[in-house]
Amino acid sequence: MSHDWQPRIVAFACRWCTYAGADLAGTRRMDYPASIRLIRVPCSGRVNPSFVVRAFQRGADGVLVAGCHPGDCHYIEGNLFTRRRYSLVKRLLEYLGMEPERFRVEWISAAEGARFAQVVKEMTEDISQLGPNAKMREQL
Amino acid sequence: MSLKNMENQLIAEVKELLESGKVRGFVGFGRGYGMAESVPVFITDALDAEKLVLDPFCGMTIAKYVLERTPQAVGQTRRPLGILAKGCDGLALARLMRDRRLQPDDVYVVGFNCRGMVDAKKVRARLGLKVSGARLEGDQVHFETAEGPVTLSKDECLLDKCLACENPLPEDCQVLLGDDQDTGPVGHRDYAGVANLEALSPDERYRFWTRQFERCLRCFACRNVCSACNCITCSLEDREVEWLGKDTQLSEQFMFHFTRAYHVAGRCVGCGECERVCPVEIPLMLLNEKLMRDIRDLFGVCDPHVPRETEPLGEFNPEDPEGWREEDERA
Repeated sequence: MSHDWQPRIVAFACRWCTYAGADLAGTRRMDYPASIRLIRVPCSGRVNPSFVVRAFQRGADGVLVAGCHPGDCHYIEGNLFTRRRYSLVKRLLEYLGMEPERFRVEWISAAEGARFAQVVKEMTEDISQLGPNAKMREQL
Repeated sequence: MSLKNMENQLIAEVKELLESGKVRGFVGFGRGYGMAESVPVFITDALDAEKLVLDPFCGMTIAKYVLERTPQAVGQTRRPLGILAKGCDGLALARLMRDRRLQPDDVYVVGFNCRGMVDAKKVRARLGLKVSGARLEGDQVHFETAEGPVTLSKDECLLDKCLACENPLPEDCQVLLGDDQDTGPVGHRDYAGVANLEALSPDERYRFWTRQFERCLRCFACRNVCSACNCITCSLEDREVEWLGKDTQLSEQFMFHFTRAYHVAGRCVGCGECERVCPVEIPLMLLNEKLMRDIRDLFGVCDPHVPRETEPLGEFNPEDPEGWREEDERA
C-alpha cells in the first residue's frame, strides 16, 4: 500500500434527494473527503445490484447506494423496492466475503447536506482502516 | 403404498392417457444405464408405457423439460403433456405457471406422495458397493447389493433436498397415485450450512467462495436446469448487458454467481437441481438458502420456496426493516 493511497468510493445517488443533498453540501462549502465518485441515477431503485459488484470489480474500495427516505420517493415507491432489494444484497455481499464497511445504503434527503458529508467522512475513515479492496477485483 | 405398486398404477394410468389421446406425451423416469439409476424419458406411444420406472432413484426434478415441449414451442395442438410429479416438481411447475411460461392446461400432472429419493453419490461413498435396487420403509432404506442386503437410515442416504423437503405432495395434480395417508413433511430445512458459513470471518468466507468459484466452468448447467431461471432472453448471454462479463477470471465468477443467486432470490423452489448438475460441485444451494432464509427473516415470508402470485422482491411492505443495519439482525 503506497502512503498516498486514498479510498475510492463509488456512490449511486438518486437525482431527487441524495444528488441534491450532495449539491447542498457543496454550495454550503462543507468539508468532506474527495474520495467519493458520484453517479447520478433517476432513483435508488434504478441501481441494479450487479452495478455494485461491477464497481468493486473495476476498482472501487467502497460503494454507497443512497436515495430518498422511505415515503419521500419521487416515484412514490421506488425506494421501498430498493429497501427490500439492498437488505438482501448487503447480506449476500457479506456472505460472499465482502467487509460490511465497504458497502452502505443510506437515505439522504435534498436538505441533508451535512448528513451526506458525514456519511462520506465515515465511509472514508472506515475504508482507510481496511486498506485497498482486492476482493472481487478484476485482474488485468 | 409402496413405490412398486405406484409404478404399476403409473404404467396403467399412462397407457390409458396415451391410448385415449388425453395427453400427447408423457415425461417420467425410465431405466438408466446403471443398475440403480433412473433417467428422464419422454413417451409418446402407449406401448412404451412399460418403460416407465418409479423407484427411489427418481430424484431429478424434471418439471423444466415441459418448457421445451409446450404446444407453442413444438407447434402442436393444445393437448397437454403428461408429467410425473413429486413435491419438488409440483413447486417447479407452479413456478413456471406463476412466471407465465406455462398454462395450467399445458400439463397433465400425475402426482405422488414422495417420501424422499436416494442420493446415489451418498450411497456410493457410504457403501462403496454396486447397488442394484432400493426400497424405502419408514425412516430406513433397504438396499440390494452384490454382497447382500444393506440398510441405511434416510438421514444417511437421501438427497439433501429431500432431507429439507416440507412439500412432498405436488399440488394441483390431475391424478394422484397411491393412497398414502401420511403426507407430512419428509424433512426440514434448517439452514445449518448457511449458519456455519456465517460464523466465519469475512476473509474466511471470501477464501471459501474463491475455492468454490475458481472451479466454475461457466457451463450454465445450473441456469439451464433451474425452473426459476426461465427467462427467454437471459441477461448472462445478452451482449447488451455490458456489466455482466463473460470472462472466466475470478472476479467474473463472483459476478456470475452473485447474479445467478440474486436473480432467483425469492423465486428458487429449493429443488437443488443446480447443485446436482454442477460438474465441479459448487455448493450453489448455500447461496440460494442464504437468500431464502433472509427473505423469511426480513420480510416475514414463511415459505420462501413456495411460488405465489407476487414475489417477495416484486412487492414491499411499508414497515419493512432496513436489513443492512446490524440492530435488525434477526431479532
